[in-house]
Amino acid sequence: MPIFFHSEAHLWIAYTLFFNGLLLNRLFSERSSQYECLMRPFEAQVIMSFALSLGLNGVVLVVLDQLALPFSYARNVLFLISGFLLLYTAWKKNLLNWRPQFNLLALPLYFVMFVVLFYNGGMIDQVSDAWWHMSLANKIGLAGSLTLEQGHLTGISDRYYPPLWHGNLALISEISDQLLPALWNAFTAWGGALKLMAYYLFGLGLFKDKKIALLGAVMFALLPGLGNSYMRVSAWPSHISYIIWFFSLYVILHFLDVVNSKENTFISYCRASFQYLGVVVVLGFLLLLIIFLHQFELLLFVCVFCVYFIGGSVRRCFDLEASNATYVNHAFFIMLYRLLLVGLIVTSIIVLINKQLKIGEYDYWLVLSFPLFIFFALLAADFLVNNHRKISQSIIIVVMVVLFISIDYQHFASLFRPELELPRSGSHEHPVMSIGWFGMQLVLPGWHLQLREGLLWSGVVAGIVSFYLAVSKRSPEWIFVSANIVFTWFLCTSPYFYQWLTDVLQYHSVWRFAILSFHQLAIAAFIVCLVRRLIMLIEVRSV
Amino acid sequence: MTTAYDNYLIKIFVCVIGLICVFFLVFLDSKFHFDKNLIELKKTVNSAQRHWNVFFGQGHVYESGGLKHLEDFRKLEGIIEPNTAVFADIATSYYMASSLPVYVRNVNRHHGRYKSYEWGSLLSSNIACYIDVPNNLKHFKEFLSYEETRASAKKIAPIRYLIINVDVYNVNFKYDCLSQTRRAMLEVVDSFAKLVYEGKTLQVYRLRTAPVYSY
Repeated sequence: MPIFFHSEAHLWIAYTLFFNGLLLNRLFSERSSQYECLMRPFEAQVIMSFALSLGLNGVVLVVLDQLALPFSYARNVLFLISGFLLLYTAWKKNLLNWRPQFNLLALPLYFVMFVVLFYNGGMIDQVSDAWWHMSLANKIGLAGSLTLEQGHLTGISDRYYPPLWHGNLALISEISDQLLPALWNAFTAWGGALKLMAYYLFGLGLFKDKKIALLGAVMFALLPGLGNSYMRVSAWPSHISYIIWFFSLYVILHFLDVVNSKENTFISYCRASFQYLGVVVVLGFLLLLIIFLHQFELLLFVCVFCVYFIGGSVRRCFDLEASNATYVNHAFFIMLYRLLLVGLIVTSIIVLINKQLKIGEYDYWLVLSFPLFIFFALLAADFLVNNHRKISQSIIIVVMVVLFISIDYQHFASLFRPELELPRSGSHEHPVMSIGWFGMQLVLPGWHLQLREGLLWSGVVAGIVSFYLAVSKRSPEWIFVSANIVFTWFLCTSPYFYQWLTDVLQYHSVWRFAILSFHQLAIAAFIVCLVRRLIMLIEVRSV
Repeated sequence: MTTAYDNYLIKIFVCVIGLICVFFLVFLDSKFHFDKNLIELKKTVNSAQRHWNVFFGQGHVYESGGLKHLEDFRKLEGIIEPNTAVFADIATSYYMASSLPVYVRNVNRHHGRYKSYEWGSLLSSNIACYIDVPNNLKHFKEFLSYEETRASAKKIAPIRYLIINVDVYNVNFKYDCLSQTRRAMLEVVDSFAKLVYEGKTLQVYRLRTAPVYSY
C-alpha cells in the first residue's frame, strides 16, 4: 500500500463536496449580514460549504435524472457552475474578504482526527451495512436515476432509502472514475473531521463558550458514544445526517439567542423572528437535507427541543425566578410547548383507538395510557404554574413517581451486571423482553445495542453531574443537557415508554434516541466548571 | 467548628478530587483507542472495529475490505455482462454489487436473503458448500436451471456467473462456509461453468447454461 493511498479520491471529494459550496457560501455571506454572523466560525463555514455542495449536487442529479441523462454529464455541469461562481466571486472580490474565526486550538484536533482516520480507513473490512449503501450508490450511478425500479443488491424490489448521500457518492464515482469502496474509504477521514467540527459548533451554540465546545469535541473523539461517535463509520448516510443535525442545532441555538422580542407575546416573537429570515432559511435547508439523507435525525431534532421544553417547564414549576431569563419562558415557546403536548396527546389517543385492545390486555392498556397520562399531566402542570404553583408542583411530583414506577429495575441493574440481562426476543438487533405488571411481554433496548459501552461509565457520570448542575445552576444549557439525559435513561429503562414509542414510530431501532445523551459535552462542561471554580478559589485566596 | 479557612480547603479539595475522578474516568473510557491488542482480539471474534485506533492501519482495510480487488473489477467491467446476477461468497458478493453493474444472490439475512425464498433455503442448506458430494452437485445444477426460468418469469436479473475468491488473508472468509470449502467448488466448477477471468485472487466462471454473450 502506498503512503498516500486514494489521493485522487481525496482530491475529487474536496472538489465535489466542498469547492462549489464554499463559493456559494461566500456569495451568501456578502449578501446577508445575518448569514455572515451565523457563519463566522471556521467550522460553520466548512460544514455549510459541505451542506451547500450536497444540496447543489442533489439538484444537479435531479435535473439529470429528469432529463434522462447519465450522471457522468454532471462533470461538465459542475465545472460550469464552478467557473461561473469563481468569476462572480472574483468580480465581487468575495474570496479576498474571507476571514473566518479560527479556534487555533481546535484546528490540530481536526487535523489529527483526519490523519488518524486517513490511516484507519472506513469500516469496510467487515461485511457491514456499508456495502449495502455502496451497492445502492453504485446502482444509482449506473441507472442515472435517484429512484431505482429494482432492488440494488439482489434485483428484487427493496425498501425506499433517502438517496441524497448515495446520489452524491454516485456522482463523485461517475465523474471521477473512482470505484465506490475507494471513495468510501477516503471520505471516512473527511467525515470524521466534519463530525468533530459539527459537535464543536453544537457545544458552542449551547454553552456559548469556546473552551467547553473545544473540550466537548475532544471528548467526542475520545469517549465511546452511542453510535454517533463511531469515527470509522463516518461515511454512512446516518453519520452525514448527524453532521447536519449537530449543525442545525447550532443554527437554531444561534437563532434563539439573536431573536430579541421586546414584548412577551406569541405574535411579537413571530415578528422578531421574521427579521432573521436568513437564519430560518438556512435551518429549513438543513432540515430538508436531513429528510433526503436519513430522516431519523429530523425526529431527533424535534425530540431534543420537546424534551428541553419539558425540562424548562419542570424548572419553571419549581423555580420561577430561575428560568425567567431563558427563552423557554417566553410566551412563544410556552405556546409552542403546549401545542407540542396537545399534538402528543392527540397522537396517543389515535394510537390507543387504532390498537383496538381487548379487555384483558392490561399491560398494553397501560402502555398506551401511560404516555397519555404523562403528557396530559405536563400540560396541566404548565397551565397551573402561575396561579396554582403548589398543584402544579404536585402534578410534576406525581409524574416523576409514575415514571420511576414504570422502570424495569432488573433491566437497569443489568447495565452494570450483564448476567442479569433480560431474555432477547430474537437476533442481536432485536430488543430484550420485559414482563409487565400484568404478565404481558413488553420490549426494552438491550444494553448490548451499542449502549453499554457508551453509558458505562461516562454516560452514567454525565447523567448525575448534569442533573446536579441543572438543579444548582440557573442556566438553560444545563436544563437542555440534563433533560435530554434524563429522557434517555427513561427511554432505555421504562418498558411502557419504550413499547409506546416503538408502536408509535413503527421503527425497529428506537434505542437510537439514546444519542440524545450528550454526555461528552456534559463531561467537558463539568471539567471546565471545576477548573474555573478551582482557579477562582485560588485567586480569591491570593487576593 | 470549621473555620472559613477549613471551608476554603474543603472546597479546593472537592474540586481537585472531582477533577482527578473525571480525568480518571476519561482515561479509563478512552484508553481502548490506544490498545493494540484489542484490534487482534476483535478480529478473532469477528467484532467490528467501529472506533478509531492509533494502531489500526490501512493494511487491515486492504486485506479484508475488498480494496485489493479494485483492479480486478476494472478489468471485469469489460468482461461481465451488465445487469446479470452472480453467485459468490457473501463478502465477494458485496464487493461485486458495489463496484460492477451486477446483482448478487448471497447476501446477509437482513439485506433480503430470504426475499428470494429458494436462494435462502439453498444457502442455508449448505449444498453449495459441499458441492463435491454428487447429490449436492446434481441438486445445485438443477437449482441453477430452475433459477433461469424463475428469473425470466419474475423479470429479475438472471444468474450468469459464479465467482470463486481464493484470497486467504480476508478475515471475512473465515466465517463463510462457501469460502472455507472453495476447494470443493474448484474441483467441480468446470462441469457446469467456463473460466472467463482469472486474476490473482478472483476466478470468474460463466455458467455453461447461460446464453452466449459477446464481450
